Amino acid sequence: MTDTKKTRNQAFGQIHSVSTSAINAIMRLQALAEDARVAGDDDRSTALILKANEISAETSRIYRAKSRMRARASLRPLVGGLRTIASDAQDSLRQMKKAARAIQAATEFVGILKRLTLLVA
Amino acid sequence: MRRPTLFAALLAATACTTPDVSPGIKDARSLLADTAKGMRKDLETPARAEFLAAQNALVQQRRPVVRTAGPCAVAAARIEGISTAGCQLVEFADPTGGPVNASQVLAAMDALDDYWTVLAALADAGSRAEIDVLTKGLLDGIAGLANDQPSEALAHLAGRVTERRDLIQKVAGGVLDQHRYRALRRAVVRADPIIGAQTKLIASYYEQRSGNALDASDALTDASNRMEAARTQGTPAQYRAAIADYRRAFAAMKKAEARSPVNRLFALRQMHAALRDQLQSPSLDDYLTSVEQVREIIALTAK
Repeated sequence: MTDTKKTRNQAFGQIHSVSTSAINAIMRLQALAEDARVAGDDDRSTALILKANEISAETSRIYRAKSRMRARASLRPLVGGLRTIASDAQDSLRQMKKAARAIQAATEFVGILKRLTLLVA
Repeated sequence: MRRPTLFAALLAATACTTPDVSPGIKDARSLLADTAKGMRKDLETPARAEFLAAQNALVQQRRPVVRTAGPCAVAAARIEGISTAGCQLVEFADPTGGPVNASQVLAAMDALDDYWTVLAALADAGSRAEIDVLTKGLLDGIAGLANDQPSEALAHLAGRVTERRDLIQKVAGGVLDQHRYRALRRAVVRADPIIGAQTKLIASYYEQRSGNALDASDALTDASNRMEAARTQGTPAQYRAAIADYRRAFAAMKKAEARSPVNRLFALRQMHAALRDQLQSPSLDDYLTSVEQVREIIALTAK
């Protein structure tokens, strides 16, 4: 297999996942259009590309409508939520550092205890 | 099975199951920093315009716009020996009200940065190593109590600690690891739907701006339709013109995509979802359960 054919096959073989999503349908049609072109059936190839374009345009129309609706929402509650989570995680980090300091303090206490026992002995 | 052997078996079984999430978090932070840099540059001007509009609204309503806060009265501060470094200007114009805008997007990027920074700190394996060193220091100190003619009680304590030294050291580190992973998991699982929603909303904001990738993609689809029509129905000159048009539309789409941060934001969202999956893996559950079991056994043994 030549490098050009391999690269082309790779480009047309990129199926996003096994789901039946619009992007998979479009890419599948592109791959079939390429097969038709290679087989010399240009009209069938064009028909498949036009079908892929139709799905792309329709998907774009639906997506734009959803995007316009979504853009009416505010990011503020989400930002607030994320800041709360970060703050809670920061508390956990502080507790861990506190545990480290407690071990440090216990070590110092043992040192003091050792000196006291030497005094008493 | 004797308890010390059971401890060792449990710890050996769990020793290799804690996922190292630091590299993934590091990659995500790097991507975020790079993406945010471009976004801040791009959104500086519209964010400034939003701020001025919010300020203007307050001016029209004759409401307070700006004031100082903190120790700004220099003479009074000097008399008390207080530093005036805390003096600040407080703006009351809030451009982040209403539907998603540039100011909100910039605030969201700041919040994302803070969030990932805390995750990185929690995931840092250095803290486990630090605990190991500190625990070793404490255990050395206690074991050393037996050397200088101590009381019977201290000798007994030193003896018990020396006997279980390795186990205590592993468990101390293990308990803290457990705390760390629980905190990480809790944060990531809670944040995941927020980050998903945030990403979509920021994408929607960019899609309403002129020159966006969505418009460029639709233009490419139109150019493709014209090119296929020209191939079958047009003259060679018309076909050549349509091909040139198609190439220009493709270049415009790639340029619009390169300018847009949306692909990178979606990649970042995927990285967060992967982190969530890693932290929710059954093997991590096993690890956290095993450490709980070890704690129960230690409590029983201490009696």
